[in-house]
Amino acid sequence: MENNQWFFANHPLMYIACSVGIILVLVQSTIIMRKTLKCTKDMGMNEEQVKRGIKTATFSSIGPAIGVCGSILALIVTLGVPVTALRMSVIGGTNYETMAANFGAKAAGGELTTNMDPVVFANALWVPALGVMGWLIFMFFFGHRMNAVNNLLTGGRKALLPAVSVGAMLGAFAYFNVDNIIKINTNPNIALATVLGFVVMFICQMIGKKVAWVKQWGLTFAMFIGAIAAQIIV
Amino acid sequence: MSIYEKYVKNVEKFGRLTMLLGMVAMLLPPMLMTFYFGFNPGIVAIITGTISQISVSGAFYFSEPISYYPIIGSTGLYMSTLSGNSVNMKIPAAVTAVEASGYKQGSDEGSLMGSLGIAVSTYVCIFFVVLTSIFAQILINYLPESINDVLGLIIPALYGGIFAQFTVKSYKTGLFALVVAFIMTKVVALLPGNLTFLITLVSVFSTIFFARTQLDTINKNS
Repeated sequence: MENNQWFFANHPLMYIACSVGIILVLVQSTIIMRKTLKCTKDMGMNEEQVKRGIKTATFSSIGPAIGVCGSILALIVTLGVPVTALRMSVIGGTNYETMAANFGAKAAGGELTTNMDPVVFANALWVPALGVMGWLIFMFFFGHRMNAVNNLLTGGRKALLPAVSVGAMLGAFAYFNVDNIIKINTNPNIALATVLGFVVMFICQMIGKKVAWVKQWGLTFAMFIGAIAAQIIV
Repeated sequence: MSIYEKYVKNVEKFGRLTMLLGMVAMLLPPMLMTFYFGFNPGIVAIITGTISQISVSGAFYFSEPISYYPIIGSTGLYMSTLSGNSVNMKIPAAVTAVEASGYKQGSDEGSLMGSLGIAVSTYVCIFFVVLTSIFAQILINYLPESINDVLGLIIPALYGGIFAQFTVKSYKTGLFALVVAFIMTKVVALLPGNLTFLITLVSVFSTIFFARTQLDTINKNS
């Protein structure tokens, strides 16, 4: 038995436990797709147009999917293959997963690292899993009543939603960034990587105003250039 | 009831079932770790971490479905909720499918196309995720030490990047968040016990409050 996460993160049972969620996503998409295709036929929609829509959506999804994959390594080195494959295939996204796993590790008195105590690893699994319950619960109770919810919650306030989202993101990531930057004396490479990630992304956002793809790939550039440059400089 | 309304009712029934199944599926890995392998972080650590996360995501539980509903409808929401990556993948795929088909956004036909677009983008995403995961393990096994060090710096760099991504929507809000987080970090360090979740709670909610005053700037830059 080892004293870090790897025996468990790569255990066959972990592969099985994680594949359940991925299979569920595939089954759900397949069944809804079949129901939808049947409905397009029943409504007499043009088969040619339907096919063209599906084909275009498939190819245009490849870019963002590779973007999603760009952030996989960061999670794999701490959480392992099966957990990462599950977390990147289900609810959430890179921002959410790294944030939630980090909250979990910190709450158990550790850090999200390549060599953490199994207990810290366990908490880095609990927190992201429990953190997504809100979305599932909300959809279970209100998904089929969305029209009503829409009217109730948004009357006049819907305009505030973008500010709420931006405020929540900045508030949360400010803490992670401050926490990394004040390590400047003990872990200068971590502090520098944080700052460089910010700088690279900032430049990408500026260039992205004219060149859209730079913006889409900004986060991937920020993490890789930021990390490599910090390693070289320190 | 029209054919389309019947279809929506039918998908909603199935969609609710998948939400329940999703809850079980999400909990399997941590349950395996704690109840089978016997590593229990304790209810306090689990709840502390979860509260921190909810203080960030809590607003999104409501704000995301509400703001995406007009774009992808309830049928699309069940899929994008379960499979994630809504903003960067699912919604673009839905909009692309509608546009390429030539049907109108907001019409019944358009909504059906949107759902088809989300379904195929889910396949594409999982295909690439699984492929990359397999490939990544091989990569990591043969990686030299220095590159392994770089991998440990990816998450800090990612945090900086995400912060920049949202700061450009409102510089004042970004600066406000940093100042609050810094002050809270210092304050919590002086207090006994592990109250780190307080940092996030205070910095998130005060920043949301501040961001509301910057709504025009945020809308202009979004």
